[in-house]
Amino acid sequence: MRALWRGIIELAGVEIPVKLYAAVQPHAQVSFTLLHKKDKTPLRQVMVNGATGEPVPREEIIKGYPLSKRRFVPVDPAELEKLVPESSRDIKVLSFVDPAEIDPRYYARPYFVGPDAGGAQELAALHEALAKSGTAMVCRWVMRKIQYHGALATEGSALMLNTLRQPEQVLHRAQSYEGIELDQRELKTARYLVEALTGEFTPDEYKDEYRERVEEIIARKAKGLPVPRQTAKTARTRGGQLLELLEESLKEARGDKPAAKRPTSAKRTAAKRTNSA
Amino acid sequence: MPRTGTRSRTRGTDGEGSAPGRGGKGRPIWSGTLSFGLISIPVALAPAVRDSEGRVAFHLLDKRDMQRLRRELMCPVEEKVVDDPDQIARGVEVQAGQWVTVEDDELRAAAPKRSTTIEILDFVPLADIDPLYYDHPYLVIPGSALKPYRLLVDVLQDEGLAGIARFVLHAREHYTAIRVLEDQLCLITLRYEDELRTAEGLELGGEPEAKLVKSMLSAIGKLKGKFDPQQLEDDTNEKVIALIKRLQAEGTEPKTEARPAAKRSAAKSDDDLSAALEASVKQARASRSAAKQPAAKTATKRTRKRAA
Repeated sequence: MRALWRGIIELAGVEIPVKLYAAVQPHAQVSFTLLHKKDKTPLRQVMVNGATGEPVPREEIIKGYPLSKRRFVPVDPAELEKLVPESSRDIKVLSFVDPAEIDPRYYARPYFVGPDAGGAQELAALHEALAKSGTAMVCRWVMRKIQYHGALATEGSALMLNTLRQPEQVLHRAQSYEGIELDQRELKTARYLVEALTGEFTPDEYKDEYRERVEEIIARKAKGLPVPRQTAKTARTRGGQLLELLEESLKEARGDKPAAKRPTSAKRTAAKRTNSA
Repeated sequence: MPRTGTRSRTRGTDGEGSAPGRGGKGRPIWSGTLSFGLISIPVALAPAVRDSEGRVAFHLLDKRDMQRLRRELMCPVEEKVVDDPDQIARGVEVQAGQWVTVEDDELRAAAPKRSTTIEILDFVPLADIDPLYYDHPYLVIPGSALKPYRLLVDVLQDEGLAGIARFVLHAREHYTAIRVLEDQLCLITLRYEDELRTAEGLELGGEPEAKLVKSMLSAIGKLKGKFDPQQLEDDTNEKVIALIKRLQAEGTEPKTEARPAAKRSAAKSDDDLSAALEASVKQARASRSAAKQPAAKTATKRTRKRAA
């Protein structure tokens, strides 16, 4: 795996050189190229002047801050460059928190953290200390001219650094339940229903069927075979009396339950994936 | 079919106006029903995060006349902009130089149908979902029926569970987790297995020195606290805004009043115009007959290289 960035964590007077690795990658999708239909030449993206439609060479492009739809404050790229946070390898430790306290909406992007030359022992110690204290390390660093905040926590035997969003990027909403009284029988039945529908988390069974269908189309077309152009209709749902529906659902759930809904294949839980990581 | 209503029930907790040129904060992007068993709950989905927030969005301009730029596609052979959708095809290179092109309606036939329901297939222990799977969160906003919504919130909360549902959003098929956050339901799209990498090869060096672990634990103890989002404040954006204000005040730059960019069809000859009109009629018909398939938007195909 190729490292994306190298940094240094300083804790308890010890410097821990680390490397960051991408923990996620783009979902495998069929990616299309836009072609000029008549000769199948791949088209290229260009920036054109909005009024003249003429392509604009790179050196004539500047940034503008919109005051209104048509009024801009032009900004010199050199001025923006001055605002770029000072590049540094330091990963500044801010605090240690219970990871359960971090609202998942803050999580932006996960990275694996591995040791850099000479830091293996120290990083192993940090892993153990995080595991023992049950905490995540909230930290800040500058990577490729951008300042990030993140939470470093154990992920099985590995360490994971999740970048965290800024507080104003997380949207909250107030919801009042005033005047809503739940009936004990409803609650009980709903609980039974949910329990009857409870299974294992099986992410390996979650397939993107669309991608499979598109791949099929391309394979068929490459062989000169016809492909369908039709579409199917979707079904609608029912409504009605809450308790009655809960009881009816419960009956159904207990009768011919998930087994019918989910294909049985090798099941692997998140916990297992974590441990093997 | 349910549509995103104009009648918004959302109330952002912070009262600031939205940035120019953007939709209102937290406006619903989808509405329909959330179901489990035979219970269906009218709900709407609204973004739970806004990554553009706290980041100044610039437009690109032509330095010479301060006109805004737009993206176009150019044929490198003819060195001409190609903007007629009928002249553009979507292709996959199956072998070097050999392209298979796919028509929009062929893709549409394969595209996932826009969901009208978020159907919870089953429930799983919340703790079993590794946060690594969490991709993009949305707020699930209750519609007219608050009682069944509250019922689900309570049961998920008490039992420590999340619902798993398959759901088509923005023409993409997602598996999603529906869980409780701040006494409300939140839907988080889940990453597919192929998006996750493993930490293989990043093993940490053996048994750490007990003394080192101990001193780190004591350092952790000193810095231990409640999770405080204020620690995540980033002032880069404020600096950019200050710069813009300064530049504006200095008036060193012309605050150009650019001519309105000519509308694409209006700028063309009559022949082009009637062709454009015809194309729009065709498109309108196609979208009416295939109203339920959101994929492969002909209108956007011109400007964006889009992955299926």
